[in-house]
Amino acid sequence: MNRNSLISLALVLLAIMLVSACAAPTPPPAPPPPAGATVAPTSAPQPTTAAQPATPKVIRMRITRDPKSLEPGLFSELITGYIANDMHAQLLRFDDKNQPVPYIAKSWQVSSDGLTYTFNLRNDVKFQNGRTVVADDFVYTFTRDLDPRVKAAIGPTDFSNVKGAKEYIAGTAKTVEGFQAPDATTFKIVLTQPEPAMLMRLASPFTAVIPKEAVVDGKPQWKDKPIGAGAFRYVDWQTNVKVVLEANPDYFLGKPKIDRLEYVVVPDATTAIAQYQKGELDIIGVSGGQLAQVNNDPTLSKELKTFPRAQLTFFVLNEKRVPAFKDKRVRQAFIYAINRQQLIDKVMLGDRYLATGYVPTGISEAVPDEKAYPYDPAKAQDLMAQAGFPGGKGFPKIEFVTTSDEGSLAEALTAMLKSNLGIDVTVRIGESGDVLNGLWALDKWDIVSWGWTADYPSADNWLYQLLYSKLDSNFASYNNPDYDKLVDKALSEMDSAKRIADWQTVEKMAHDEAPMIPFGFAKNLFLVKPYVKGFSASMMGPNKFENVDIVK
Amino acid sequence: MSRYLFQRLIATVFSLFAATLIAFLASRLAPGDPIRLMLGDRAVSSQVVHQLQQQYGLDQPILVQYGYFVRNALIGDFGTSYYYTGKPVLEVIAPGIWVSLQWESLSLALAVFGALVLGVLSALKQNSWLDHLIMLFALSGISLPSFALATFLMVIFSLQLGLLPVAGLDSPAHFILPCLTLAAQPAALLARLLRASMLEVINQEYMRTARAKGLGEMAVILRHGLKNALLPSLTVLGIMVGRIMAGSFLVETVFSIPGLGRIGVQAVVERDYPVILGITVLLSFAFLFVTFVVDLLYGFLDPRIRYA
Repeated sequence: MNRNSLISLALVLLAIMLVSACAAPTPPPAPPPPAGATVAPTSAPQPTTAAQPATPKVIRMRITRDPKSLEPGLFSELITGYIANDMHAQLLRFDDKNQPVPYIAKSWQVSSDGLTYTFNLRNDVKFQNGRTVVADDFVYTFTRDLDPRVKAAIGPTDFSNVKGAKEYIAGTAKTVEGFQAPDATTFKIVLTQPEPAMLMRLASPFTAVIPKEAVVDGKPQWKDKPIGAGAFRYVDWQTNVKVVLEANPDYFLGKPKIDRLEYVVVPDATTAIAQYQKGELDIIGVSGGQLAQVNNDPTLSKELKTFPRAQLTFFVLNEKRVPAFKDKRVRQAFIYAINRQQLIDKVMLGDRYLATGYVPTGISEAVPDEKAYPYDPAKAQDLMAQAGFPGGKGFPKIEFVTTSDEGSLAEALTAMLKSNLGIDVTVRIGESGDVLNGLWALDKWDIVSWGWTADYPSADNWLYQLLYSKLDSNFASYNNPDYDKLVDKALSEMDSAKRIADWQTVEKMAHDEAPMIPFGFAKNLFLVKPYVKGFSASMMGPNKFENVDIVK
Repeated sequence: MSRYLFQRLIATVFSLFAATLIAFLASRLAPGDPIRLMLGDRAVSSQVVHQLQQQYGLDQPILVQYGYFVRNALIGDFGTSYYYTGKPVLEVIAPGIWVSLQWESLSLALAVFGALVLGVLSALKQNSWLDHLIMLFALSGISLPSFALATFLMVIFSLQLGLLPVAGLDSPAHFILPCLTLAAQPAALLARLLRASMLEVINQEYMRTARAKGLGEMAVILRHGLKNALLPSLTVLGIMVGRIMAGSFLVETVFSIPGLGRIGVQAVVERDYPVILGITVLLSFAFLFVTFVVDLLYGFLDPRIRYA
């Protein structure tokens, strides 16, 4: 082959690559939505659904990253939990007041010792492969969650108190004794110690039921496509592009109003807003960083929907690093010295509510009419003087750690501490994985800004998980035996009214003790197109799309 | 020639080892624990974390872990992803390969074509307003960060003019903005280089000879001028491929393109070590292969270079 023919060959190959790049779009090519059109399908109607209406009702919602898995027990993060919520169904679910109510379970009884839960299941719930859901399916699903080979995050955390769980994980038992199915519509869970949060856990989408036949034996894989029992069934998952679901006509609570639901992966927030404006997306979540743009745009600001979210953001005062934080007066002084309302309004542009305490408003155990510490520099100085640090004298130089999206917060906050308390605080901006790692190491950061989202809407997510002395997630290393005692009491109380009162007692003590600086109760912010009707979010995230409709 | 090929092969294997070792150490030594990231806001005891670390083999010393990685990689097993629990790395990466190959080769072609036109034009019209304009473009192409260019293009062509889709890769129209963004910087670099080598070539004696024997100006420029001016640029081609691959990490994120770059960025954020390593091996191999081909091509096109 001579030189010229080789060059020609190279050119031809390049041309073929270019043509194939243009001509072979991965999904079927879709006509761009006509200008002004409100709803346009992004691809041709799926052949699996017969008798589609002329224009299918499709909702395209942004997710920030590809889901980990479509198996509920393998999800552990909020975003992909959205998909589980629509595809799958579990024993219970949350009502508007964040309380567990019947879902697949019609009713349930808890034994007086709090150790045995008996669920009476509906007999009309079908998996999306047509088979009826029976109690054995829950035994299978929950046992699978504990199987070390599956590496599910949910099992070891949620079912650790189930009788026989430890033996099963250790490999000394073939089944989990505490999961029982006496008959097709009765499912029992037996615990080794009372756990009032159990019902909450069973209302989370992570504990949804899956059919045995959809799973390759022993491997964490689906045979061909994921099957659940929820309102929407699986159509397609294009890695890093989107997850497409369609209405499940056999859903036990009735077929959803929309035909298709697409969760589109859009990692970049600016891109997401542009796509929303152009009509390529119908619902997008918005974070604080985009609020300036949204508020300044007359259309976007009208379409912004705000819902409270079960997340507390806070500043950890690490007692292990800075012994001065063991003094309650110092901790309180820090709270008085920081104008949190102003930080939220001016720096965070109102992306969260001021945290009055540790349990977000809306959670049933929150203390009604709880008053946040006011901004009071004089009182702060007074308390510091009492604690032996008048004008900040003798106080060690400390470091405030946060992630890059909170750079301006760090500047404003450290300026307040300097001018009100006379304390020098340096700022360290870290990558989130780095900050998280230091947080769990417990002895790495002096003050760190972080947030804690609930797995289920209950006070123990914050008052127990963040402040109980024996837990690794007690980032402040706060250690108070009296506090622990109150928590123990609340944790073991089975009566719900008494439990609420107990947690409120704990919250009042935490409020006074101020082991961390509560900063904000988070908001769930969404831009929702006006033709999307009935979209709402609970404190745990968007509600199921089963009642959402499109009205042009 | 065969001896040269053999030497290159050995060098390639060594480079691959070095690349994986660096990627391995960098990802492990960077603070951040994949297990904790996986668990998110869960009050999990250190016992459970340790249990999961054992399941993932993360409790072993780093060099032992690297040893396992090399041993398994040699038989084509890159392990399973941490993020996509239990999914083999190759399955995670595979869909991204074709996507990246498509749109990145398109960007490369666009960059080369654009640079050829601009570089030759500005050399021929040296010191004219056109030359200054092109060099101004080239300078801004080099200095403008790609995320800024991406946003700029998005606002103008998608939002203001409504001509092009914002993000994704669903149709041929979707390729335009990301390809322009990715091509801009390498095109600008190559255009400047081409202009310089064109200027050098234009005054060579063989150009005068070509004109003297009555060839048309186009033929003189293309057959004698460009062909010789291209030679120095050919070496840059390998570097350009590297730049395109590196640039894709950011551009794929901005335009929601499901290619290797996006998968890589997510893997880094999640500390998904096996996927990070899988992508490193793949991209290093691709880069080494392209450099190798360019070297061979160089000797082929320029008879003065001989491999001995």
